[in-house]
Amino acid sequence: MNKLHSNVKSSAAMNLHEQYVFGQQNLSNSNIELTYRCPLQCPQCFRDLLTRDNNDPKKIIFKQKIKESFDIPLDDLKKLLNFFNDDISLCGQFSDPIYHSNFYEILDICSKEYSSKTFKIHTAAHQKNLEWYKTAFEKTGKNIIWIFGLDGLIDTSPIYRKNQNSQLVFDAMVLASQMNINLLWQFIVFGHNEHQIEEARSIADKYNIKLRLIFTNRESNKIKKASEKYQAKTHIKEAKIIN
Amino acid sequence: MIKKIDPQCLYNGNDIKIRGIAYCSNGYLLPCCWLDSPFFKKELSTLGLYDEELKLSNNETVDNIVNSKQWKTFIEIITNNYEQAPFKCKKQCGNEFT
Repeated sequence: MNKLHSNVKSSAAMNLHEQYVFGQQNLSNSNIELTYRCPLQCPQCFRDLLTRDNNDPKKIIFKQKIKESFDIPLDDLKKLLNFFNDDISLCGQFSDPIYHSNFYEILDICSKEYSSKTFKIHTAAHQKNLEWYKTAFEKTGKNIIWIFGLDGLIDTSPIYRKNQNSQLVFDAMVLASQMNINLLWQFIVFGHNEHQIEEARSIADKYNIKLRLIFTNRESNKIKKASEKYQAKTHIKEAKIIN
Repeated sequence: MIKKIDPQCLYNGNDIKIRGIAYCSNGYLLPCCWLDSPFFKKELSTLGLYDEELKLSNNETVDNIVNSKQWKTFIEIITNNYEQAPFKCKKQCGNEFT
């Protein structure tokens, strides 16, 4: 019996709040924003607001949010890791986890002190150089999956991932694969990169990397959505008729 | 028209993955990352989710936070009180029945 099943109780035996807490501890994919830093300015991220005029009200509100933000203290991180039993995502709402000032230490903590729990590191920003990644991968346990956001190939990825050193991110993925690190290449399909899907598949095969295509209907005045066949199958909530 | 939220963050007896709690860069926990927007802060503050006592650094454990009166009220609202639920919860997890 796996850990999940041994923990599952009948929801009828719990009140609403117990049910909520039980689910969060055992069956959720929790999300921890480690930091507030990221060098990218992806058009569908809050960071894109920073490109607006200084008097723009939304920019002012977002700048205030950054002002109130900080790197998670390691003590606080451990409180979270003690609460959630599994499937913990280190994923930024507007930041990249690898920019936490003690990121190597966090890798050590996750790999050694919490080795029974699985972690996902969602990253699209580049770090200093390949040496930085090599050290990070050496600290990465088998319980950690790196998910790299490279949307297309290195020539097209920076169209959405503004400021991304896509070559370095790609090289880091290849290095991770060579070092037997669990990883995933996450490719969001847009109008400007949909022609590269097959090439990406073949590159992923060549380097023994798992490729995950993400289909989205989102677009903005800065980014063109994929053609219809590559768009997400939308779940349209229609009114249900009850006789 | 009956309006109801089916919260994706609530365990319903199945082994299906649910949306998890989000830790935000300002040191607070929110019921899900969809709520972590500076533009929802005012609305969530009225529900008490940004009360100083709920900051993670002011608590020994996460249990203290999720078992607080503010969080209990929040879960009750999104489950049973559609009108008072945050806009984002209605948008992402809301259903309308006729």
